[in-house]
Amino acid sequence: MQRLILTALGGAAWISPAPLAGAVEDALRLEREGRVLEARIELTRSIEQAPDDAQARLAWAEFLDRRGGGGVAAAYAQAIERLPASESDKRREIFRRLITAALLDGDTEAAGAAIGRLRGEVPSVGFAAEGALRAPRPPAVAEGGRVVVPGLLNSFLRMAALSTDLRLEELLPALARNIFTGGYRATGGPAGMEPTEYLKLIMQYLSQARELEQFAGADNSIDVPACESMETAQLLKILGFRLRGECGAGAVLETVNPSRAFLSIDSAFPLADLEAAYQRDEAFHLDYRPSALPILFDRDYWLAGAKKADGGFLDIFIGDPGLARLYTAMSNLHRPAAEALKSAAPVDRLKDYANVLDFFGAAFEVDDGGRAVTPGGEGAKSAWEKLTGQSTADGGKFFQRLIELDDGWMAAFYDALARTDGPARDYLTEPRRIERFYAAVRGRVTSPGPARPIFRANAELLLLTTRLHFHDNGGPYIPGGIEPWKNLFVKHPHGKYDGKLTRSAAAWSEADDVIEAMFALCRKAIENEPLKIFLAVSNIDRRRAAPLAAATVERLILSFPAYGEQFALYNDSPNLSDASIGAHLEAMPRLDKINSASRRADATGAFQALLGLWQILRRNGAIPEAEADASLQAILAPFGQIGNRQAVFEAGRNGVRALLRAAGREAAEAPQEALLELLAGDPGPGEDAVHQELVERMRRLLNLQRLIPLETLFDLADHLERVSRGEAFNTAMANRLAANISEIRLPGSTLSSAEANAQAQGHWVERHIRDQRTLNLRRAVDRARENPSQLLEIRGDLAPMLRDSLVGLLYAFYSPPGAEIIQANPLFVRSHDFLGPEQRRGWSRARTQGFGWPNSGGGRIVGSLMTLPYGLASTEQNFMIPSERQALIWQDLAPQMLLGATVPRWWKVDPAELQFVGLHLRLGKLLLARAAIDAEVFAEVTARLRRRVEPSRLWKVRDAFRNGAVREGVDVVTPAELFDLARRMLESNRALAADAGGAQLEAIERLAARDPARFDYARTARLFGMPHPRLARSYNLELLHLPLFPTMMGYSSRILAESWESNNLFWAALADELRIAPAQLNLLIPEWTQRSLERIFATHLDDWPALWRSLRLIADEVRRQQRPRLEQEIERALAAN
Amino acid sequence: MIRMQGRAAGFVAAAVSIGAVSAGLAPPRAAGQQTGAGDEPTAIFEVEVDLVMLNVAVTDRRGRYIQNLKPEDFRIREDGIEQTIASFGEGNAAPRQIAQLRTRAGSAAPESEARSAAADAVGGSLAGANVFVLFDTSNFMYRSFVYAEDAIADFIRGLDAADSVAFYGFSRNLTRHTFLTAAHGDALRGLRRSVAGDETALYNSLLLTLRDAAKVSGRKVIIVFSNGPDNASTIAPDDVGAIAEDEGIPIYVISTKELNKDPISSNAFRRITQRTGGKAYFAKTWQRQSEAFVEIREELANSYTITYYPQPNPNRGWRSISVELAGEEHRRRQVRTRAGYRPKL
Repeated sequence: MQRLILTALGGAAWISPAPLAGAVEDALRLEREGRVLEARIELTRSIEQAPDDAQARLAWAEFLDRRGGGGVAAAYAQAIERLPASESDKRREIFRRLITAALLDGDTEAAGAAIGRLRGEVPSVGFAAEGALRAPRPPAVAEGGRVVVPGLLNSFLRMAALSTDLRLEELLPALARNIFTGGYRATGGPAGMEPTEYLKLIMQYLSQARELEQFAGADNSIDVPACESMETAQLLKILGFRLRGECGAGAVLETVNPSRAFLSIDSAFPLADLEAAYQRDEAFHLDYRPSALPILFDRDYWLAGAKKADGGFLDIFIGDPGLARLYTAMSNLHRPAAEALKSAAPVDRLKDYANVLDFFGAAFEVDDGGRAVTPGGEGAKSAWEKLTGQSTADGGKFFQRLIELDDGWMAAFYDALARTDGPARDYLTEPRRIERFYAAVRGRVTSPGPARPIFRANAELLLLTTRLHFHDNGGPYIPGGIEPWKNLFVKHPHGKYDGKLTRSAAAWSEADDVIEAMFALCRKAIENEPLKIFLAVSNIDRRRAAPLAAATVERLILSFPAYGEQFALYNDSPNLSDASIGAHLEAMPRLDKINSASRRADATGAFQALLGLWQILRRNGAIPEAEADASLQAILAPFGQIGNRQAVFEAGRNGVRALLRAAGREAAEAPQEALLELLAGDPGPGEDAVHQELVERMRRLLNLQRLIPLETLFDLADHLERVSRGEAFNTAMANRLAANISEIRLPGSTLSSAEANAQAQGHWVERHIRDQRTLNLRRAVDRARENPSQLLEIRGDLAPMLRDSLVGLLYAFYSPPGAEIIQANPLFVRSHDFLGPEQRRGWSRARTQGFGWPNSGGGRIVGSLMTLPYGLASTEQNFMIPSERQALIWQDLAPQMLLGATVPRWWKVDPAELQFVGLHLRLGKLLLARAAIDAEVFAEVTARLRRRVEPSRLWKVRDAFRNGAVREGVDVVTPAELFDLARRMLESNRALAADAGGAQLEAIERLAARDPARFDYARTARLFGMPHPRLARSYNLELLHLPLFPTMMGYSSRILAESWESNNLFWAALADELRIAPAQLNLLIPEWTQRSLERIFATHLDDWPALWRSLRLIADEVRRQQRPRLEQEIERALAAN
Repeated sequence: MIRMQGRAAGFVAAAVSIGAVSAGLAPPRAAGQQTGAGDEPTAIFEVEVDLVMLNVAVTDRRGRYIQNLKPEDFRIREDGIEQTIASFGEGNAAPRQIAQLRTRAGSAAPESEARSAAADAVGGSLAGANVFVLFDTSNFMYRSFVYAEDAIADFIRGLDAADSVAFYGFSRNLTRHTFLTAAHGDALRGLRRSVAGDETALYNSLLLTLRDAAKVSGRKVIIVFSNGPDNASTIAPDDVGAIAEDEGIPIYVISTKELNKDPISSNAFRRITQRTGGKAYFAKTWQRQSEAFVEIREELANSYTITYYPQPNPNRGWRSISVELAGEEHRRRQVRTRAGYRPKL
């Protein structure tokens, strides 16, 4: 293929070698200066002035291509029309751009026409993938390749809990997944499994639908000619209703058979329309055609593996969860691999291993010759063949052996290694290590295997292989060296993990020994604590300029079980000294030793709140790096000696002062206001209004919680000090405080005794609130008037309030969009429980307690503030209002998405930084579009996507391209993957990047040349990445470039959510396209994120496409909303000119 | 210039900018802010005026509604301070302006502005109530789901043509099946599209319904069809009740006697409805709710909608409201309305 090479500043210059006309040149200059609107107007005007000027047309098309939005293909088409035939090179290049732009628009006809014209001009031009150019068509279906679903498809989808957004070919796999995950439950009796209510309803619905089908007759039409007719009686009987009242205005449908009526309603039969027809005495008509869903392979293949062979395919299918699971697994496989497996083994044999295939099959791939593509490539092939005893030459046989070998351990290991890339892959797929680490994972006794549960259990294996860090020489990074880890196993301070490892650890001498132990523990059903410690400490170390000292690593290892959740503090400020880390690790156990539970809770709460504030101010740069250690130690020091409540108050006040001092704020300022300003961030010129809005939002939430402002508490404390020196007590000041406190209502104060007793409101929470309510300062002062030291001690009574006010600042900061509890429950902040029922929950992960009435007086959060952002998001997510009826994906996904919108702040971001993201996403799409019509490019593109996109999904891209659905194929790839693709292509094959997206490349290079520090990938990740509190134990934004993880059980399903890194990149590109000021993102991204979550229509927990679809839908809505503003801006600018 | 802020009904905050010299189109500024050098020496004050709306039901000793009362029949006090009625309406008739708006600063706003503020707050010339129906589709309703639907359908069919209706359902989350509409048939369509769910987050969903209702101008009520108990909310019923009270939105709960087996939930229903000026009904079965429907419809058709702008009151916390009837002939009559509210902070 002849490919055009564009030089760095190539694009426009190469295409338009002649000097640009003045107006066009001016426009490009304006764009370079960030004056996009003026550039647009200048270009529009130059076209108006010289409509046949090819140069102006081309500049306009390239402008649109760079800025995103529509009209690119049409603009290139206009440019070509004006380019003389003599400029053949230029025409060829513009044709290519036109073709890819049209494909991305879904306009295959225009793309095909352009290719035809290009071939007319350059007969030698090669486009191999003709399929991409035909009109989109559904995949070919073989004879016997469909299953008929009776009745209205949407009704069936409702009953089966399937999204209406799914394509026809996606429905049966999704149904199959629902069948085996939710259709049966184990009974423990001889029957083994029995259908759940979900499945029973599907069966009953199918029965009713078939009756309705019979009623509809051969023409598939439900017709009731009139209210007074036989048909009315027949139809209503099937539906479970009768007619109350006479035909006409008084006719009303009324339930007569509740089971049938329930099905009619639940399946959304149009009862209201039927009733309206009766009331108007009109005929009723309903098209009641069945739907045919494509079956993978064909019906006979699956029937051969079914438990029973009688009945229709659909009934057999839903009656056999094992078959359903195999169906899901095979559907999710790289299709050629599925075909190879189908050829290699009969269906009933594969069915025995459906669970293994379901969990680990997505990584299986065969090449065009039918050979297995194994992790590590040719170099590792021999190891895989040796371990399986099977040649990779026959992919089907190889993968069959892989799943049958050892209860699934080999498949799990293979899957984990297949998801690695770069140095991890090089290290882990070295043949000797493959054998060694596999032996460790497998162990001697293979049962129970890793695929036994319904949801995948062992997240550790995936975490280990994807989160290892490496030295430049390719060796794995072991924080603190081998000794601390050897000690962990030999001395086992937290309890013995594994007898064999304890014995072998004494002889460890190299990094591989440590890694092998981590692999070995991945096979245990119990929690893999050493791996968690290893990854947590590695995360701290990888960010640091100077590695942690071995002694610090030892301390971190020892502290992990009790204080591991607090390690995020070290990650959000990565260059803390070992001394500061040590001081923090010492301070926490000291607080735990405070005898008085309420004092311990107050001290712990104030301590965590101050550190939480410090963490935010470090993240947003308000506390500079140079002040990090000093300020942290200044906060920590007073908490070392908490002998009484007064000391708690003083430590809290001192901490506030330390924060303000480190952030460069005057001590005389009102501390709460200063902190609010600091928390909101540091706005740039013109960004004050948004900043004030954020401050006002936090202020409002604090008011709703009726928290005492810090300045009030500090003034009162100062006053008490003066009173102890003889000054008269200021009653008005005490009254102000009392007025605030009197608004605090005790939980359950309005309840009867029985109700109050039924409540599970935490004991310590109630006591904490009651103590504040019963505080009578004036009386306390009167009693202590003669004793100055007693007067000073009264300040201790303010400690619980100070704790709440500090905690409230964090609640206000981290409250997600749509938060309701903090607005509705005035005790929400005060109810934060730092002890928990066992008095040991102060440092553990924040969890919501008190769901449901009468079990609670309102939800409250128990646990550490370090994990408050997720805890709050998790609690408040219940107040989102789904626009669709399906909210399955939310439980773990939504809080993580909300975190990505609430933690970051975007100040002083150059609009061109949004464009930098937008250009990469556009370039990624263009590369894919080019790949759709060029097999050579496809190979290049997939080689780079492979590091993140599993083979089964790559196959979907290819399949879509082959079927003329280029846009759908591109949509299989997420924004984070597109960004990564563009980046990798720019780094490794610039010529191809230039060929596919010359306009984008030119703009990216121009930006990078302008300010290399601003337009680089590390900064982009810091601005538009996502926080990874579990994967990286940090709230800093990052792009970890991980493959999308599958659903896993327990906490690890959070990991799945954290592997989705697309949101902020996508919103940044949208903001660029719509010329939205970056500061506005502080308000808009939370709103857009909430709307996206409410729009998700997911069918199962792995339904990433549903999330991605939802983001696109919201983006379209935003475009529609913003269009009038953009048009007005243009009109105003035109008028001004 | 009068600008209505946020929720424009039960409790409305209106910012009134009054130009002492020129009541023109000067932008609102902070209270007492001075103009810059060279500007017209115009003092502009911005004061916050809280319009309070009350739904008041008056009955005789037998519970029969008393009609045709006049504004002068009512005496309204807030924290014991007598109030002046701003607008008055009976049943589904459009409310009418009574008194000229007075700001807290004591100066009278132009009458036209005052009228439009009060009219906006009570729904302008719109007659009828805004009825938000909230249907529990959770597991607890599984057995009676279809009968409850029939009952709701009957209730919607029986609403006054002037009423608007929204139909929401909930289990773990809220679903807005039909947004507020004057077309009752659309609400019935929404009803027939509801899906049976799983957990019961009644109070979370009630709160969200309140938030929606509070954004709507005019008289509004929430009718909950539920058999409780709640097992998924993170909001306590009394917190929701407090918000409904502040917003002036009565809550009615229609349930069955089955709920009485769970006295805590039934007490919560009674408490929340009572404090908002609504009522809880517990029929034997869902098929026997006609009495409740008649009562609610009668109440909508016969209650009075009264608004007032509170007199200066330093109390920023709970303010109690008392409504009495003046005149000996009303001595034995029962007046039901919300007990008070908390002004917005």
